[in-house]
Amino acid sequence: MIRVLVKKQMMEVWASLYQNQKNGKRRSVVGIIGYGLFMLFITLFLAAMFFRLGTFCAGVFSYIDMGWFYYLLMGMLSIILSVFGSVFNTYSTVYLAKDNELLLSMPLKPQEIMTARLGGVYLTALYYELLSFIPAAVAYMIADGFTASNIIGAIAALIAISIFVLILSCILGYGVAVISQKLKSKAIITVIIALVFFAAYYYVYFKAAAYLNDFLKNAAAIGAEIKEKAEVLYVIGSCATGNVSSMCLVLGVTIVIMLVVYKIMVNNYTKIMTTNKGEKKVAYNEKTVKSSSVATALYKKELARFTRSASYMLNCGLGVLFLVVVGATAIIKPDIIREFTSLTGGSEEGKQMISLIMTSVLCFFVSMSDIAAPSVSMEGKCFWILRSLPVSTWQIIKAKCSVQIRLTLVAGLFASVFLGREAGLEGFNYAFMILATAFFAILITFFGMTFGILLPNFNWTSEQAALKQSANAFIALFGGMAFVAAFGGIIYFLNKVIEMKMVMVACLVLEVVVAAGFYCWLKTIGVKKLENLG
Amino acid sequence: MLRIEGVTKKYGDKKAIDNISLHIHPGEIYGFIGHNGAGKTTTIKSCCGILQFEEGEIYINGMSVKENPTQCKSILAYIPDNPDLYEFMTGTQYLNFVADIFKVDVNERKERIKEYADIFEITGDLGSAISSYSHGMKQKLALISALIHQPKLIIMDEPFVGLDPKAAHLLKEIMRKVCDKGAAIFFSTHVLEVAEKLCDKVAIINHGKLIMSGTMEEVKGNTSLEDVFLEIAQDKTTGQQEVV
Repeated sequence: MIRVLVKKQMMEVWASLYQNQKNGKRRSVVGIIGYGLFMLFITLFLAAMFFRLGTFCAGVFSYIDMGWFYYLLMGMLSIILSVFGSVFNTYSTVYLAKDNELLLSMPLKPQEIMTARLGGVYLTALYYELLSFIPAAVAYMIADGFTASNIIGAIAALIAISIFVLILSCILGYGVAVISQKLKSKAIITVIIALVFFAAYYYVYFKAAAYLNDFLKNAAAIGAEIKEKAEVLYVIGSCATGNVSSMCLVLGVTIVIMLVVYKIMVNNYTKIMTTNKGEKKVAYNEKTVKSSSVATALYKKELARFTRSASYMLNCGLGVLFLVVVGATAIIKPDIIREFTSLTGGSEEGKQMISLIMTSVLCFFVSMSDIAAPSVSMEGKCFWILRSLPVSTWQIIKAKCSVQIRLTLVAGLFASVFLGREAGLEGFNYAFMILATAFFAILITFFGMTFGILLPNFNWTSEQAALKQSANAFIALFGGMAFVAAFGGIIYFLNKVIEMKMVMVACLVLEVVVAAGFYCWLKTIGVKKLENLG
Repeated sequence: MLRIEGVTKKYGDKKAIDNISLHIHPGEIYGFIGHNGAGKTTTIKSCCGILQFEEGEIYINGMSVKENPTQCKSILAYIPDNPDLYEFMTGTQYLNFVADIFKVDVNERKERIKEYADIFEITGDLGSAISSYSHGMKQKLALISALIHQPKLIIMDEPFVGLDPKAAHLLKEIMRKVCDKGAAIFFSTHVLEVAEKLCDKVAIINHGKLIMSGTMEEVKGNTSLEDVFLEIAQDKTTGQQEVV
């Protein structure tokens, strides 16, 4: 019976290769090959990154004979990556699987279903090992030699890590399931957690090289201290170097813990499978409501759609946050801005250059906000509501655009006003920065909305498909960045013919003209196209 | 109230509905029956201005849906076969959103929300997110949102699907009351017994073509509506039989 269930599990895994997740249709042969090659490229790219990191460190650790410490670090890195990648997979595969009730109604033993489900999670963990731990192990063996103990040790560590990841994924997956049931403002909390993660990621990313160099210089001393004060870590690390007693101990302990977790999960099978108890009922209290105009009602609806989806905010609203951060940085740490502007020497050309560079940065952040583009797709199966209400199609488009325009305009003005002030910009240069950012916010919104209407995707089951995998979101995001690059190119070439001030005026005019072009398209053809999207 | 004149709608080369003509007067409950894929939903969506159609005209209260879609929509209410509502809103937020769009006075909407929510017994759930609602509760919320602005014409696609027997009974009562006050209702259904008991008139559509239409007595004669329907379904090539 397990074989049948595993086969079904594998069909799910391979379905993404053969089936378009967006429309459920089978991919063409070219599509399958293309998708397969894309996945292979991603896999090789990530594996190469870990291999490069391993090569950077392996030589030093091999030289000072601290292979155990190298494997301990690489193993921990691999566990972090694998758990982060597997925990949400576990959450959805084990705790939220859509076929839970179907399988529960069949004559199947709990352990059979659980084993098949965990098999899928284990394979995911193995895939992440393939990306991270295996390249690191190969890098070490290139430095230290492909000896029997090194190979056997690496295989034992690979098995131990994959089982350990499975254990952690099961426990954390259960934690995610319990927490997600109790959270009230899921969207906001998810956004905050994600932003903290991003901030930590970028902090580590920018500091990584310096930390790694310092660490490698003192590796021997740190390693000796760990070996003395935390022998468990030494035992875990030396398992990968082929130390027989460590291998037996680590593998034995990991397997025993896994068996205990497995036993607990099987015994609580039904409870786990039906963990999702639905959303908490909120008591209804009659409140005095204020009526809104049609335009306001539509705007509020669009704003609610945006702010009540963590995915929407994270995928399409990060630019707004960055603009706020830039403005806040200018207020809190003006020295950074002044230090940068002092490099130009205070000349008029220098100030023009500062104004252009800072405007480009702000426009880049503006282009990272593509709230309007997926807004049509995000209607999904609810599109009938707007289509059946007594509102004109233009009112619908205006409401969808106004969320992005208002958010990016306010954030953009906040950033440009304070950044320009701290940069010491005055007169024309200051006005250019403020106006160019504001016009660009409007242009990008109309541009995104245009492609939102031209390339909608209503047939999604997960809103991620509308936000991330839709052509409109892709074009809006990268097209916006291309606009920034295009304006840069225009400035560069025009400046060879006319003076910079005139170039800047030309840019402002061009922004207005292009924005007006998209506006006219939306008001005429866009309206008709949207009306035909029944 | 609703006049459909020779409407044809194509999906590519295929005619989903072919030269359909119907006339629904104020005070009438008009049933629309047909097999799966016969063209009921296409007709209904065309009437509501959701779908564009190639030929013919649809008039609501004398106004063309093609030329004055917004004015037409302001006096009608549409309830789809599957009540997909904004799951990011609570029940109250959704009802207030609809009321705002239809410019319903604050006090009137408050009264109507209370009245219909009490009737359908979902008052206590209005504060909860729509994502937590069952299919039946969503259907009830969609019904309340349709009634909140007192439309002159209600167009419903399979309104009884998902409703419990009590709610279905209440809906039938409300439908009758609304029509007694001068509004009209045009709805599709597969429940022929309901259509037979509830409707003043009925139309049968088969493969996009209107086969029969008229008062219930005229359409079914001495037999049952089920017998008439099954007879038509067996003979798919039957031409249009206009009773009236």
